[in-house]
Amino acid sequence: MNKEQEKVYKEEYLPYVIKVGKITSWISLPLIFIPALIVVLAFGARPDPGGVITGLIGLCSAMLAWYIVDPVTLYPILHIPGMYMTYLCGNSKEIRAPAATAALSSADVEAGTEQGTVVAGISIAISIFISVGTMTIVAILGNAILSILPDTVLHALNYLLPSLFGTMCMQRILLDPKSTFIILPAAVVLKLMSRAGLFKFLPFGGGYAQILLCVIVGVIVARNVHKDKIRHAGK
Amino acid sequence: MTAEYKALANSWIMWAACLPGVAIVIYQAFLIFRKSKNDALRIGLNEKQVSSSIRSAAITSIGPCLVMITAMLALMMYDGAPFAWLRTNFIGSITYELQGAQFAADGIGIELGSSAMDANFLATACIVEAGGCVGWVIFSALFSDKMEVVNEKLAGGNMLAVPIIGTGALIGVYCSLTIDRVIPYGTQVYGVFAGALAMYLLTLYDRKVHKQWIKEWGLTICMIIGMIVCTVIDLMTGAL
Repeated sequence: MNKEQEKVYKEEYLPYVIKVGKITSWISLPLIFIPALIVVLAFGARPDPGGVITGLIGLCSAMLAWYIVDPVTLYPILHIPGMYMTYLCGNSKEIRAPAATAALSSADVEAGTEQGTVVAGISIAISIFISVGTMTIVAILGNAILSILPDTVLHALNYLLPSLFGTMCMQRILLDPKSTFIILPAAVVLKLMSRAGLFKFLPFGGGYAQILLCVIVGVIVARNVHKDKIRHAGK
Repeated sequence: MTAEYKALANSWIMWAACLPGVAIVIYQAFLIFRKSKNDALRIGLNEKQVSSSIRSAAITSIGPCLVMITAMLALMMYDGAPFAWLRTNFIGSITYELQGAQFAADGIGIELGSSAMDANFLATACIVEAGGCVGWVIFSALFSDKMEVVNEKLAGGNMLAVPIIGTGALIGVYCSLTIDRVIPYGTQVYGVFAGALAMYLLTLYDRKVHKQWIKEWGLTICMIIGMIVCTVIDLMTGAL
């Protein structure tokens, strides 16, 4: 990347994305409560205070750790533009991360670089147009869609995410097999520890511990396995 | 769901109430997409990279969207089509939203999907499901632009090390997500390994032939191979 390109990235692109991301994110917060307000005003509903408090406590306590763990673990691929869009639209691991991964691979660009950031911005926006369009069709057509698809196809959809994650895992592994030699067994151990309930003592039940520790292990292993390369790059 | 609740939850008023939330998502994505595309060439990407990013993202997004259809239809039964549409497109994840609907019902003391669902339940569910997810937007609004500091610290101040460390972090993420599908054992394990093996072979092939279609379609092809393998196994074992 030359100085001119870096200038465009740092002085034009990023400031714009950050400004748009922040403004639209803050504006979105009151918008999400409009349906509740309308149900109260238009239909005379009375939300149950006990129900609201119980429901919010239940849901928020289940999600609280993920508010931090999910963005922190996926930031390397989403980057700044992807973060704003992903945590406004949602479905971070199922749709946004795979779309960004595929785009980075097809453009032959590394995650975490300036070009990678722009590719992530483009790809996640595209994934949002696709998912909003698809969900809109589903919301309008409803059950008619399910009646068209053969049973075999509906059954196969149950295996889409496992197959997708296996594929994406191998894609990442092939980029750094040396690190994977250590990270993958560590992930197995962490999974078994999680299943044995060893993380339950952590705040909010520790359900997030496995993925967070896998990321920490990944970073530490990559730094150490490639320390010569990193040292050389710093000179 | 009673006819009265169904009419209320699916009324045009609810569609109108849910529209602003979805609109802001599309608007934000449009603005960032336009800026990214306009600046891409000035930041060092070429036209081919931009167009292949768009194609591969589009192709890869379709499959997971199909998975969400059955779960979204379940959510529509409890929340009605408009609010389910909002929840899946706005700070949403199908798994969390179904939990949210359940928490709202539990909080009121009714059974989800029963005739006890009324306007009061819908109002409660609207608040609970929305309120439960604002944490992500708040974190993103406050810290997205500061995450680079975290990256710098992890890279020890050497920004050229960021891609190496980023790859390590991503291997950690995907190993964790994949292991969750392998343990405990089930038919899905074959999908994981079939998809992984297909990707391995396709990548080796691509290293020889360097075909763009492999980079754009590879993920989807391998994912479908995994799905087919699992479905065939279920057919052979009588599970389907």
